[in-house]
Amino acid sequence: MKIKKIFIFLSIFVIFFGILINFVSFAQEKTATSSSEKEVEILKEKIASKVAQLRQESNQAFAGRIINISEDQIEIKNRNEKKIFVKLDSALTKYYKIKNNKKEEISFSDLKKNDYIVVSGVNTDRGINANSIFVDEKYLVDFGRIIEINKDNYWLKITTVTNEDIIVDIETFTKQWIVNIKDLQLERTGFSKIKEGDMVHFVTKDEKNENSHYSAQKIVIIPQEYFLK
Amino acid sequence: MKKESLIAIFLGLIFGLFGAILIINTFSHSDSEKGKNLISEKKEITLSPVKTIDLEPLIINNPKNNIVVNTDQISIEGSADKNSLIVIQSPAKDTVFQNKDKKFKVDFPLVLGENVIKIVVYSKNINLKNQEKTLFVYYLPNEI
Repeated sequence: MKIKKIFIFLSIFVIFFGILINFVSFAQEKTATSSSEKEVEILKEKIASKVAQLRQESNQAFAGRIINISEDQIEIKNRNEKKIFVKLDSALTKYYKIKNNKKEEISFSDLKKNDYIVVSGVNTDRGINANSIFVDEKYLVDFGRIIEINKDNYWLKITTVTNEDIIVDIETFTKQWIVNIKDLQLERTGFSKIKEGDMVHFVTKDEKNENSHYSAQKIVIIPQEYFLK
Repeated sequence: MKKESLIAIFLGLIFGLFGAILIINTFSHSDSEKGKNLISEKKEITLSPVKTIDLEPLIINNPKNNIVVNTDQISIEGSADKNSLIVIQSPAKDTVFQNKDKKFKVDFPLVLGENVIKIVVYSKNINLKNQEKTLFVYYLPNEI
């Protein structure tokens, strides 16, 4: 009887001991797996951020007007009148048109001479390998002193900091702002409040209208009184 | 010649000599005084150091020029002359503010494609020339 009790006790002990050993080894395995999974995740994240960083560094943008188009290459002239060669890849390069802050896909055949394009790609010794080409608007953002106002034809003659005289038409769509010299807030204004001697900051499309003037998209006037305070 | 006459001539010579020395001394003293006065009348010209105007140059730390971004807003950070008037203009937005501290930071929206951003600083001192910088930032989502 006593031997039987000892045998039962030993059997239960062995069973529980076995279960315990199994549980401990399973827990250790799981911990090891989860820690190695974490390491893999961290490594993946590091690789992804490095790849993103390298892509950002290698991927550059260039803009200019098209002066020549051929099947596998476009020649553009940038704002500094420098010619840049853009290499096209029929399988890779995509074409878009930007209008009203939205892009729509177009095809290579939609590109034409004098279009202003932004090229996204990788710069090489032979030119830019284009990933994407965006047909965009070219804007002129500049400022200067108003030296003449034509109240009949609504234009301003402005001398810029580079001593260039520019005539800017104030159109019906032109947004006109003036700096309140007391609190420096921008307020809506009208053509009649603009004076010779005021400073003007303006945005126009970089192409002249039928009067050979620039049409202002918007202007910001800094009254000359601000500088006499 | 009488003895008294000789004494009188001798004393006359002595007094004459004494008087002459006295008069010469007096004149020379007054001359030196005059000279002294002339020197003291000269105004001392001191050269004050030339006032230099410390104009803080316009520096843009962020964003880098010609950068490609995939968000429609950037933070323009830089430094310029304290209390200057700063105008930041692009086709997307116009901002005018007074630079109360040397450093400034402005959140600025972007439009799709090329963004020409002109930053102009008007110094508080109207005699100083304006400073300007133009940034080209390309907002091209899915391109980076």
